[in-house]
Amino acid sequence: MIYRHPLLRSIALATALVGLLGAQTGREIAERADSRPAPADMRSDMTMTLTSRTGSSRTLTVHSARKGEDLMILWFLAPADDRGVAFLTIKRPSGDDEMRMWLPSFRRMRRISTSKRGDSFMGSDLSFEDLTSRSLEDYSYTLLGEEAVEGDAVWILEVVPKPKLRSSYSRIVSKVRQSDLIAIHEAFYDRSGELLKERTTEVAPFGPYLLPVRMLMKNIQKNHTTELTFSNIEVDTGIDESLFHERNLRRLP
Amino acid sequence: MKQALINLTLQYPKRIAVLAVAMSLALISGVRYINFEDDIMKMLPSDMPSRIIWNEVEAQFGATEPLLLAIGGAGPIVSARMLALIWDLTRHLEDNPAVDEVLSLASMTRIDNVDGFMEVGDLMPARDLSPAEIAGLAAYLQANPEIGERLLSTDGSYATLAVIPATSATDEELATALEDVLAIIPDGLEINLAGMPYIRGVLSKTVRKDVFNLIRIGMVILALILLINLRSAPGLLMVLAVIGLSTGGMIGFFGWVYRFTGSDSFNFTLLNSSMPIILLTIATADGVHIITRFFREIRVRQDVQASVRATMDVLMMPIFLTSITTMAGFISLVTAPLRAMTGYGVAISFGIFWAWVLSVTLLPSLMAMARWNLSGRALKSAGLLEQIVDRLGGFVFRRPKTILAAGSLLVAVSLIGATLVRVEVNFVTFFKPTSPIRQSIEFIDEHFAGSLNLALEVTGDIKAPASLTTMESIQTHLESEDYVGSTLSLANIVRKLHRTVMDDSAQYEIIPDTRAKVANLLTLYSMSGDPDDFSALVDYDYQRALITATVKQTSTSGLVGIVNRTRDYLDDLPGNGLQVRLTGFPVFIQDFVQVLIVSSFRSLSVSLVLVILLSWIFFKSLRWGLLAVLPLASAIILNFGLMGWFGLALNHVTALLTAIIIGVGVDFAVHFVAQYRHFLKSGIPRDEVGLATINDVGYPILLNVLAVSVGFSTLLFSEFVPMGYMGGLVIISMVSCALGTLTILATLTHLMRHKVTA
Repeated sequence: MIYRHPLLRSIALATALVGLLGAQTGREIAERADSRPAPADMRSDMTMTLTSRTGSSRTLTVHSARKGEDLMILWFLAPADDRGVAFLTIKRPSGDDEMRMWLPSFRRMRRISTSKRGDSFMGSDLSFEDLTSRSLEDYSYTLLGEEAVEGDAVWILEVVPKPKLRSSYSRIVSKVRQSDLIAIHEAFYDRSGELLKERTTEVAPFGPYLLPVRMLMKNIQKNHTTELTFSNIEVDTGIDESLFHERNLRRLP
Repeated sequence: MKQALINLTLQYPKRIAVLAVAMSLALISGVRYINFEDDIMKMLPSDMPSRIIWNEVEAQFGATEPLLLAIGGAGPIVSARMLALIWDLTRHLEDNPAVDEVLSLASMTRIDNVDGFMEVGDLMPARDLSPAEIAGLAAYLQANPEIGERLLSTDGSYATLAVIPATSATDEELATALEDVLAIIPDGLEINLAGMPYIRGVLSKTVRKDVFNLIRIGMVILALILLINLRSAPGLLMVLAVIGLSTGGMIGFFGWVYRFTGSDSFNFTLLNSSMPIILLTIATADGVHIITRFFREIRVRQDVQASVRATMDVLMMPIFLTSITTMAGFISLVTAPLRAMTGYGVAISFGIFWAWVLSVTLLPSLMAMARWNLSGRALKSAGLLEQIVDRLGGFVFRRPKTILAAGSLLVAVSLIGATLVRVEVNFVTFFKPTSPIRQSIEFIDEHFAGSLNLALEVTGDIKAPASLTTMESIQTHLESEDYVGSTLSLANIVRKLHRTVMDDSAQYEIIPDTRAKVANLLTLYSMSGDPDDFSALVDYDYQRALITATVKQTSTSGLVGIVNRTRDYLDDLPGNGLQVRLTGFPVFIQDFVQVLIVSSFRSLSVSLVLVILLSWIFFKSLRWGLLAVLPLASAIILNFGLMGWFGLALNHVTALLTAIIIGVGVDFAVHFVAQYRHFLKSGIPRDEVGLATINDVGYPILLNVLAVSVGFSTLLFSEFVPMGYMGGLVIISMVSCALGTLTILATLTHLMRHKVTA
């Protein structure tokens, strides 16, 4: 089984370190991570809380469905103002992704352009790059060492994007818990080498998978945070590709 | 007590002198703790409404007072070369920790409808743009004047970069960041700077240097005049020692107090730059009175010890009284709501105290130790000024009623002029019109939307169309003001998004008719925008929004007029659940005027009452107490009259005028009254007491006036307008206090000579 959920995939990169005692290289760890199984499709309710530097926060809840890495549909459930807004993303092999949004108050479908990997996802501290799985060929991996985090032993893996990727990061440092091989903490450095963001992840078992149930991304430079919590998670339910069509944006599931 | 102190200085002159100098140096060492601070906010009372609102607005929406950098003057800005330069400058500034954000062509976003796509992108996607991209940018700026007006000059040949300082950055750190970036601008381009952070930076760096340079030159001139009149180098050096050590001691004391209290009242502001001037005038008076008296005594006695004793015996009490009354005058400043005045009053009072300590310890010790040439001209005969003064008394007492009537008429005319005094506290008017700093600021105002910010915080249901429409109407009102350049709020963004969503149809560039539509538009934007994009315009809950208006520099009354008319407009708005609070620099100016006027009158009243009380106590007579304040009361009216008639504005520097007048005025009057009573007691016929008093105290008073006035006339050449006023007003107040004492007080006491008692 292949990890298709991008969040799972990036966690799995670090997870693959498990058992690789001795002469494992970063690259070998990444290869094992990439071959780990993942759900073919998934449904969940996601609550996103954005907190500004002043401490004010805004929360929205969406119901999402995903199939593989390329298809995603979101329906806004809350706040009440946005209930009924819906969002569809279809990734094309050409890279010319299609993003559509349904605005119920206008009864209009709008297309949105987000061409840059570093662009914010839904106004959050997560970028589209953070949500995209890391292709093995696009990064180099180095095992930096080990340490203890809150009583858990972790491996420290440095992930450096290759120039052709035009990443918005110069490097990412992942701390992978040795007991369950989850990347519990990742630090993202901007192109000038300054710490930009930090992500912490909590997971829970769902069938054969360990899936994220809470994720906190903090933009250090802007002092802004985004917290994602996932609930009502269902995996491998056999979602049909026809769900990912703009006509399905117009009504809540 | 008096005799004990005199004995001490005569018995142990060396030890007393060394101790006085050592203690002064210890005080002066506090200079290193001086904290220079020119933030107008820190001068204002912390409970002032506009300051509270300002703090809340900055906490929520970030800094709203940018430093403005305008470059250009070498062809159109929207060209490959200039855009690349703006890109470089923006990135360079953004990398500096003193800078929070830079708003420029290279950092702003644009919203477009492209083939049905709603696209949020960068105005400049890259440093080097293709000709097609440049043409597209030019077209976008033309179609979106609310952005174009803020970033480009009206003729398109200059661009601005609005540099928002980091909250923790000092003005000096910002100035350094700016210096770094100015270094990469190629020759041939014109650079202009404006904005409050810049003005504050300039004030702290340039103006203070200018003022201190002029004070130094003034000191040299003062020393020369004293030397010419005293005709004795040792005598001059002794007076200068008292002046220098007491002034240095006062500044050092200021640093020490800040070191131990950290109080904002002891930040060294622009206002405090005038402290040395004031103390110099007072310390000079003490020194001049003692040394001239000593010369007179030694001329008669031909014995140094006896002359020192006689001098201090006569002057100890008047100098103590002048010091304590002057201290009372300045300590009254602690009642002023303007915080900087508290530290000012305390420090000057301490300086006066220290000048008194040195005048009664160091100065007599030095006089006792010095080897005087008793056959020298200085000690043998009277100087020119002394001879002139001897004739003055005769002139005054020839027609005392006429002199008194003329003086009274002058005061009456001045009283009318005093009602015409205007208040001007806007920093930009503190620079001469020919000053490069002022020209730079005016250039930016003329070619761009303005360099000051007015901010209106709107609280309510911001997503409601009625709220956004109200915000629009407030903006329309503001834009109808002559000195308001442009306005910006969430309403502008919502209108633009509405048009974009409705296929870029101009008829939809309006606020949508339902709350749900507004919400949908904002969500649509958030799907591709940055979470911080609206942080300067609205809070996370859409409960508080900010309307900002750029305002061009104008007079205080002009700015206050804008604020008042805006308040009236807000009062007349229909109540729809919205609360609007006004803040920003023009509002501070309005509040500052109020605080300044209250500060001036409160401290004036308190100090006059204190001076009358102290004089009453010391002279044991209310009549003498009232007579002692008569010259300074006349001088205050005369000075405010002159300010009114000649259009000199009251500001936070010239507001200290009353304190200066009281400081110097009471000195002259107290010396006159003390000597008058001394002569009365000594049995001189009442008809001759007035003349004898003028002959006695007239010379030191006029020498003091001459030296300080000519010395500080150098301030008239200051680049900094209020300091020029200050120089002029010090001269006028010295002259008017002296004349008030030697004419009005002299003639009045002469006319009342049979009614007063010693």
